[in-house]
Amino acid sequence: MKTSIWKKLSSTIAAVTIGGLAVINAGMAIADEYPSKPVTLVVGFPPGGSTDVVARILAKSMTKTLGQPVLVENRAGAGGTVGIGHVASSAPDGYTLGVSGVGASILLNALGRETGYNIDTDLDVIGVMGTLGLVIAGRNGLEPKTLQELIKFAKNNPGKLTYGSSGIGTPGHLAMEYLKSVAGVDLLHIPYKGNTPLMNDVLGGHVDIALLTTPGTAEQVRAGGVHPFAVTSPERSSLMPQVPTAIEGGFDGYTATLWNLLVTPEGTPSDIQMKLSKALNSAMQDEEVLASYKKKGLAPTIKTPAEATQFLESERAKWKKVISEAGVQKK
Amino acid sequence: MFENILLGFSTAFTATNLLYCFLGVFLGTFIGVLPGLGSLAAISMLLPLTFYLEPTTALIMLGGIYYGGEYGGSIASILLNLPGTPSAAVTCLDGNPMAKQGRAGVALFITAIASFVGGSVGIIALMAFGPAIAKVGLSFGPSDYFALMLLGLVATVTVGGQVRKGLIMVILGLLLGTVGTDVTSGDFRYTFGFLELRDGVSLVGMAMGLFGIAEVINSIKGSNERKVTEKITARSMMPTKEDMKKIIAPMARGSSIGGFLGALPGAGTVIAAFLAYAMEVRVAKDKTRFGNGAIEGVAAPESANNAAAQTAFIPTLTIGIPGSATMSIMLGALMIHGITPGPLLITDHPTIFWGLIASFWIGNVFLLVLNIPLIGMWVRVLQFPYKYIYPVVIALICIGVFSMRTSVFDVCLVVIFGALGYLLQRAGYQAAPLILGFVLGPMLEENLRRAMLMARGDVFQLIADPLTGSILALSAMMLIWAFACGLKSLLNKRKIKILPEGEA
Repeated sequence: MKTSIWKKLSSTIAAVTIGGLAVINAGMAIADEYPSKPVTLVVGFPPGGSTDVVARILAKSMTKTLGQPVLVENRAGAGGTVGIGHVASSAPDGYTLGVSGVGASILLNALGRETGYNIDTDLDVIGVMGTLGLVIAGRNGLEPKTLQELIKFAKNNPGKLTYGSSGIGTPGHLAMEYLKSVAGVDLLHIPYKGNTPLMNDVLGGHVDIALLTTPGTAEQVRAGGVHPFAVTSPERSSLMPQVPTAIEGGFDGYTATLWNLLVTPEGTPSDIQMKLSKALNSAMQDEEVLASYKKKGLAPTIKTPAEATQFLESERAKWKKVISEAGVQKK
Repeated sequence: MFENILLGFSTAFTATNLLYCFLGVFLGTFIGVLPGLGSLAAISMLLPLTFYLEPTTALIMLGGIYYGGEYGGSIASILLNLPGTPSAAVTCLDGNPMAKQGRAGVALFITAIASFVGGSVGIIALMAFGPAIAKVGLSFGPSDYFALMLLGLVATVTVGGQVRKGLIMVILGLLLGTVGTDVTSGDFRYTFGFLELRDGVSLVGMAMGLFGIAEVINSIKGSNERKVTEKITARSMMPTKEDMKKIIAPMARGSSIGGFLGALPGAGTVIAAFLAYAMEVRVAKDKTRFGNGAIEGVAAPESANNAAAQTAFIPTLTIGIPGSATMSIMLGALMIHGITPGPLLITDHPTIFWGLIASFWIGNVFLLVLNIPLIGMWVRVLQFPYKYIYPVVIALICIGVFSMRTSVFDVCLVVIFGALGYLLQRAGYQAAPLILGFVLGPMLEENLRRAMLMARGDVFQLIADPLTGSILALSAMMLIWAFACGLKSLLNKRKIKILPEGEA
């Protein structure tokens, strides 16, 4: 018992000391010198995932511009909120950055989930790290071949079609619920744990339709494993130019895109923010980055911190509307 | 086919690829041995490095770490009763008793052979029938997965020995598996407000606590009991002819079970190892030998998890569906290089696919050549006083678990599970069935509920599916068989008890 108290005490002392040093450090971080040591880029998902890959591509380019290594650190958990929560509580010295996706930035909060941070008051938005559309795709052997036929089929057979999503409250789930409400059709929702098992069951014909991520689906479409109905980006995807957008398919204003924001803890000095913004936006013009973005169907974005914050606002308004119009239950 | 194999070997036999293959399996073995540091952690850490390598070379190295880790994980299981990786937990059951009987060398030798055989069977399956097996895997729907998981559960709990204690542990594992976000409703269950628990209890943290920390605490009490004077001669390391004969059938069974389950994206190496073990207990005439150093109990799960490690590449490479977290990272390594994995990978990038497969052969031979001479060194680890080994073990576990998600919370979990594991060990309960319940439980529930959703709540539709129905029937038969056997032995016992009285 005695030792455990001592341990607690000693760890508290250690934590206080480290914390204190960090604060001093933050005070000393002057933009002229910034960055004088490696910068950590926190990703809320495991290595190898689509968010991680985007982060690594950009980190490589930002390393060149900043002159210090930008190191990706994976703090996976709770739909990306564990990682962003860590960023929110880090020192605002520009050495801890985060990659915040649609879920961690908007959806979880809008669905009434406790995330442990408020993106408006705990984080500064530096920029947008590109956008990615989704694909409304169906299993092979489905009768309808276009989005309109699909909706007609669903209307004639209410409740017969199933759609899969990579989880409750994911963009794929909400955007599908939105489609249901605007088209006035009844589809049965089958949630999965992530995109991989979902893709598996669409390929295996166990679930009828799903909103799938672009690069992987484009490969499956090329091999004839799934049938694409429409893409949900405002423009056609460079990976599948033959597939129309949902807007072309008759759903005006229907878009659903995935994106990531580059965020820092609230209170990061503005000159450091500008340096980071410049590094991010020059990465968006880097030939190498553009080439890998194109291969992944990602659209590069160049936005100032103010524009990026505005982007967040407009996306939030849109998704909140989706949630309320589709009648998705809040938790 | 032959052309492709040639292409593969010509890719894999370049100096760079050979070097990285060797580096991969070497690193994999060592990381596998270190408790807590699994191949997943190692591959995550090395992923950034693969930026600077050719995609084929990168995959060859990462692949080597992966299957090398599966092999290395069992070394610590045998020597110290500490599974280096969760799938090596089964190997503790008989591997560690063998070490306690002074047969550590033999157990390690058999592990090397069984791993090689299992790995080879897996590679052959991958080369010859990869795409075909992947198609079979795709035909497994939620209801079939549910039936398969149930079969796994039934097969392991009905296996002889301490049924009651085993059952309790499996149920505890199932209950722990319910912690986290419910996939079907999105509700949080038993998360007690911890963000970290929303994805469930960390498997690695739990396994390291239950086995690793518990074993360390246990040894504090009994540190004097240990015999350090084991003679290590070349002969003591070699299995006898009889041993070799005994393991042929278990290796064949283990490799086929592992090879099949590895190819299913929803199964994995942990289940493969457990089922292979259960199978051996089932077919053995004398079931009491298991848990007391039965050589089949090492050979079967080892061949199974290595076969599964190889066939796990089937869905990953042939259809672009990664079966595990480690496999997703492999695909991530490809994506960094601008290659999106999918069904056309083999035709678009034949050098990657065939070069990787050829490197598996080379890597497995490297492992065998590397590890047999190392057995003597590993056994000597046992001669180290525990007071030096265990602090290192604890440090490694903490580093390993922390590095998985950069999470202090998971390290605290290790401590809690360490205490639980110690209590369980003192009470005579084994942690391995708990791990099985924990791994199977969520998949069982998730797939059942998904299948019920798809069937609109109609149970009969579930049973009517031919594949689901037959797997379920198999489980039912196993249960009935187990009950019948139990009843028979109960009656026999009564007879024995009653008879003397009648005679008197």
